[in-house]
Amino acid sequence: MRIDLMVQPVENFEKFIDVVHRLGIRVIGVSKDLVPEIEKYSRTKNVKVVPRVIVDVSKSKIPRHVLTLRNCIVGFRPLDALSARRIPILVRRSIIIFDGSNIKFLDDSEAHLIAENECTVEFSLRELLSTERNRDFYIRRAAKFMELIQKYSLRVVFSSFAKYWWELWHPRSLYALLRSLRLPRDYIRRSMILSQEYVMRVLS
Amino acid sequence: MINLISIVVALILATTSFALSILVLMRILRVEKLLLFIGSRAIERVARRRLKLVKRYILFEVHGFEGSAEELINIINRALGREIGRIGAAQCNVRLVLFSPTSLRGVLRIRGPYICMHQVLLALTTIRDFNGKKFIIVPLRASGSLKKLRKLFS
Repeated sequence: MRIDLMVQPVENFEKFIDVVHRLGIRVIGVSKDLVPEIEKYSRTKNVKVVPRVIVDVSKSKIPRHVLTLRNCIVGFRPLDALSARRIPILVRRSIIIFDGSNIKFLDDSEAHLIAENECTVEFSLRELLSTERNRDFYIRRAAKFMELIQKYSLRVVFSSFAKYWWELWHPRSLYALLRSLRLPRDYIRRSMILSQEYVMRVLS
Repeated sequence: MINLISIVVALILATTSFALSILVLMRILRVEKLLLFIGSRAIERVARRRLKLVKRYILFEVHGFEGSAEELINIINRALGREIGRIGAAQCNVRLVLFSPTSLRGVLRIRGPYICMHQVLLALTTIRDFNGKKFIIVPLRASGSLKKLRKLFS
């Protein structure tokens, strides 16, 4: 089963789902509000949609109601360094999202905390495709992150966070990218199994 | 008498310690020589691997691309130049061997140092637009011989 745990389409949903189908992706995670609209197109293409909730955490304040949410995958995106440190302690076994805005918080001690509290890192691939200057910084951080994954045996999933169809990732492209960033095969396989696990938890 | 015995014992101890130190020194020299030999061989092997030119073929598929084979190879070369620099791209010696505009599948040939394979794969996965045209390139399979990929291509 090929899964993209987070996409954020902004226009032309039909074309987007068509490309998802052609790339062989069978399950996509979409923001909870967009699910009914996306499902209109996804049913015909046999693509399953999983609702997602992303919580932006600042000053380490986590809203209570998100902790009891069922039938959707909840991810926490830290907006400052303090929140990044506190999320793994406050919510054990949670998903912590790292993208261009907060990748700088993902260092050795953060990885250690994440591993200790059995949290999962959701890594955004969208910034790897941007043409801005911070792309080089993101690639450098990504390479460093691959080292941390091996050092602390982190649980990690890779999501495209695609807004447009050309930002989607074919599973083989993702595999090639991770191999060229020197991530061992076992870890890549493990990340794919982990995303399946999350989807099964919601669908069952 | 006691003085004589103590002198003899001291002599024996001195000679044995001297002999032992020589033995230890010889052992150290032997190990060092061995390490140097192994080290030089390993370094040689790594250097040879780095310098050795390898030939690899990559089967790829393009989604959303409308254009000719020449246009595609131009795009790939420019992307390579952006990712690994012009000199790096020239070293990798990338050529488009096969391309079918109907199935939008093609085969690339790389001839260069071993690291080129990873660099080209990284470049291929991150090409998403060129002059406002949007597309996705998916590397499907890499192989050392063209024969295997021809079957998949057809």
